[in-house]
Amino acid sequence: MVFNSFSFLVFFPVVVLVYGIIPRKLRLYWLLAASYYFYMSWNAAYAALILTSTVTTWGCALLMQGKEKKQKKYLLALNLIINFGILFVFKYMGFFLLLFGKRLSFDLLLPVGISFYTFQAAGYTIDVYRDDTEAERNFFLYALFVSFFPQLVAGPIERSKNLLGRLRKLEEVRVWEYDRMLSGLRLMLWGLFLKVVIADRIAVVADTVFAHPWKYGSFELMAGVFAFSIQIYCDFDAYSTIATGAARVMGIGLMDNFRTPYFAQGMADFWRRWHISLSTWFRDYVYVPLGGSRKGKPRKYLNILITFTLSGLWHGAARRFVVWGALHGLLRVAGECVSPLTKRLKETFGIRQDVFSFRFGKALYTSVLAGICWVFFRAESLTSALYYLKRMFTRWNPWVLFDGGLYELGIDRFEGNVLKAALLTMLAVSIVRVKTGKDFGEVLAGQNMLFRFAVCILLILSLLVYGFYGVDFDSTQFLYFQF
Amino acid sequence: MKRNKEWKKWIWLALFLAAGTFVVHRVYRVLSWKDTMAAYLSNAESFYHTEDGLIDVAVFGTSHGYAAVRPDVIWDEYGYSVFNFSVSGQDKISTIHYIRELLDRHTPQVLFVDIYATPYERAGVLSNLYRNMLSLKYSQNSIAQVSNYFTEEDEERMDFYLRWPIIHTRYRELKPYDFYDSPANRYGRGAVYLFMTGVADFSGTFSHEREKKELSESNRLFVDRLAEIRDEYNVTIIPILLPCVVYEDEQPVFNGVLEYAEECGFTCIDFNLMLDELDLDVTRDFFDNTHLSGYGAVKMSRWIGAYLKEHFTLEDHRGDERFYQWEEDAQHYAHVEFREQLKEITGLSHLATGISETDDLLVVLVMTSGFGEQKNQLATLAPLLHLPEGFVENGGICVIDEGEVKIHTSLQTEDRYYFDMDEHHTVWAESAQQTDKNLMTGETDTRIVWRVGIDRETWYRTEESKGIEILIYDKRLEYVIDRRTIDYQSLYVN
Repeated sequence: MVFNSFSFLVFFPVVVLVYGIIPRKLRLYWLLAASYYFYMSWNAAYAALILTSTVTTWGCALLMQGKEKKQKKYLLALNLIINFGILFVFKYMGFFLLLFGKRLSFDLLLPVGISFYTFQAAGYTIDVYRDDTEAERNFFLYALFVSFFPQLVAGPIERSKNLLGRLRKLEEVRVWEYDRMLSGLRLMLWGLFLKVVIADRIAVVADTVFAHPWKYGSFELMAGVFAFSIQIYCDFDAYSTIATGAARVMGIGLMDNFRTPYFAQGMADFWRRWHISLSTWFRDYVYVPLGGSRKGKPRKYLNILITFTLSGLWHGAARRFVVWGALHGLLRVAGECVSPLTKRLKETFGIRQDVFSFRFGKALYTSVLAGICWVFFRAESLTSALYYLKRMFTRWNPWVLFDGGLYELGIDRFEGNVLKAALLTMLAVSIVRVKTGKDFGEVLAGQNMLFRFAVCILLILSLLVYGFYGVDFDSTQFLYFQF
Repeated sequence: MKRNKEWKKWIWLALFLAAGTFVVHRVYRVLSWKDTMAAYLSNAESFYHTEDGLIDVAVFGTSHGYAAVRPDVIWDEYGYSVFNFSVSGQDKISTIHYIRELLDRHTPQVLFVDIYATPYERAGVLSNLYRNMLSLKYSQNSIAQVSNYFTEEDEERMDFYLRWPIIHTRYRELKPYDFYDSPANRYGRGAVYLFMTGVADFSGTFSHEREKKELSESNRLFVDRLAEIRDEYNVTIIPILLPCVVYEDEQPVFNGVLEYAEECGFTCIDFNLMLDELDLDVTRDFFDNTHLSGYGAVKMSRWIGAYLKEHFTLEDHRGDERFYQWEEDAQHYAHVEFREQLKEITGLSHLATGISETDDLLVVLVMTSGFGEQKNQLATLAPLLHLPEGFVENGGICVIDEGEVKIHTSLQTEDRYYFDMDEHHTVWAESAQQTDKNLMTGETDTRIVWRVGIDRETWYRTEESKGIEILIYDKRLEYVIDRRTIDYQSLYVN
């Protein structure tokens, strides 16, 4: 059941309605039932996996309470082995066997969202181990923490301190709070716009170019990279936005997952804005335990490389994901290494850093680097990615900017205009977000009523008319479901 | 106080929902499925424009049905209010629901149901599926139509219930008739003229062997449902097979259906057994092997009219204002027939007579050169064409709307004229100076260039011909029905 489906359109209002009218004590059980129903709509058998993960992490965390550090360590190790073991079997076993020239003799379907809830549950047990959070005694409450349906299959990967804390106060939530509910609904509307109007439309360009890179020259291939960069951002941000909106409707706050990443001022900043819940997870549970920056620069750089490579592997069991992660790590390290040099250059040439042109240039430069990395992420294989990049830098064909060739990449001029209008809208909303620090729902809540009416009706119409759904459209699932 | 403020918010929310629903509904009207392949003609639209309780006779079936039975012919001769509710590729399930849709609003005496679709279980063409499934208004009946047609396993079933997932992509193809009704849909009675003729080949596999019969479960159900409707609404239903070439595998199915229908108490008519009685000419009265042409439809319709007169007591509604749509429909087809007759006219006097005898025409004449010796003959026709004085002598551009000169100009200088024919269409004429420079000699040639057009389309430019250019726009049909050139030496109409 994806967010942009008719089933969810029925499911969500029913869940909220019942949640709002049943006795407060039953809310927890209702949301838990709804979350499991939501997850089992993909494949009922997956419930066994999430239940196993829930029971083991809950049990281990309880057992850790009040134990000696050494015992706690054993329990944590046992717990992580079980949970990451399940993840390994379903996600990575085939990949590692292939590295040794062997193949699985049976098909193993990757359960939707397994990486997300495994990491969330693992994060909780590490928090308990570190005494950062108390072990939850109520099994059902903890089960809801692991399976809370808005963020279950594609994040944000929540922290126990945030989500578990909020769920503990579920009975105190005043459900029918007009402003909050509407703010959540508007956020969901915006997320749907990002997904079905922008991401799915621009995906056509990315798919066309990446499917046959050998047909195209530099500019079409650049368009493909641009298209994928926008697609993956809109797609993933859409999911997080809808998840946050849905949770907000129910009076539960989720953490931010994206903060206009293509406005980032360098690769380090990019990762402070992109998939924040994952990057902070790796920072807190991998990078810092490895020593972080406390053990000298060479070790710091090594830690960065390890963390990013693992992050790449988290995204998928394929060499190209590992390379993608490692490349980001290298760019981070390279950025730090050349930082003194660039600082001196700026001083020598008197380059002002507090002006728009500098910030724009830096954002552009960061986006281009991120875009080049996306080629590894999107291409069919590592070889294809290298071929793509080589071709992009060697097959110069500027005439396609003038002969309409760019409108032959799957969407025509009319669709292109719809896309441009949608992208401009997104840009405007992103700028407002940067200026105000508020999300779409919060910004709109502060506007006059007529403006709110107009914006919401226009968004609804855009979804209904320009959305990619229905007949002859193979509904693209949210990209991050596969991770 | 705070409580009061909360309530206000909920009222605003209700207002928002009302406004949103209104806007979405308006947009749905624009995007809703329309038969773009049939120039936006839809007999479902025509049906919904008809006041309840007026239809006495209706015809159901596939394209064979709407090509064969012309309500305008029956109206002209008998004044019966016949509505043709046939749809291209109308499947058996849709036929049942179209009948119910009609019976919910009207109390007809007779329903003719063509059984041509009985050998087929499903629509063969996607556009036909859309035509049948998306044309009826949302109602329990239209929902039941989708439920009965699709099984629970059919993934597209939900799309047909909701319709939006199918129709929303129409934003790419919107045309004027998406924003306002095609006039023909307001008064059309469902038939569609096919004037092109082909030769129907009845010599091959066609067989009347009545002993060969097949009755599938779905066809038994189809006939049973017809019987249920007959009994429920107390209406006469006549299963028919309209004239068409039938193939070997189809005939046993038709035989089986007709025989079972007769067992169920229906009077059936197989028109293929009556080709001689109908006096159908296979070289002119057929559009192709399976559809009658407009000429054949006249014969078929006359036969049906006579049959209705002989077997039923139907009222002649001619002169009754409530039945104005049948009158307008007859006039519409008179215009269509005129359009067809125009194709055969080659003499100027015949053309002038035809134009003068037909209402709702807008004629644009453009004359670029004098007519010399033929001037006198042309002058004699001037009153018939309502040509203004001086036009034959001097030429120019003349726009005549139903006998009244709206634009007359010699356009010797730069100028522009326009005339709004109705709220949607404008005819215009303009002249502009054009200078050509000969790069070899350096000489320049300046002249006046004329252009005449309707809306955004230019129909005439000075350079195109010598003589008189005549553009005939039919305001009822809303398009240019003919464009002719009169040769300035022979007065021959090209």
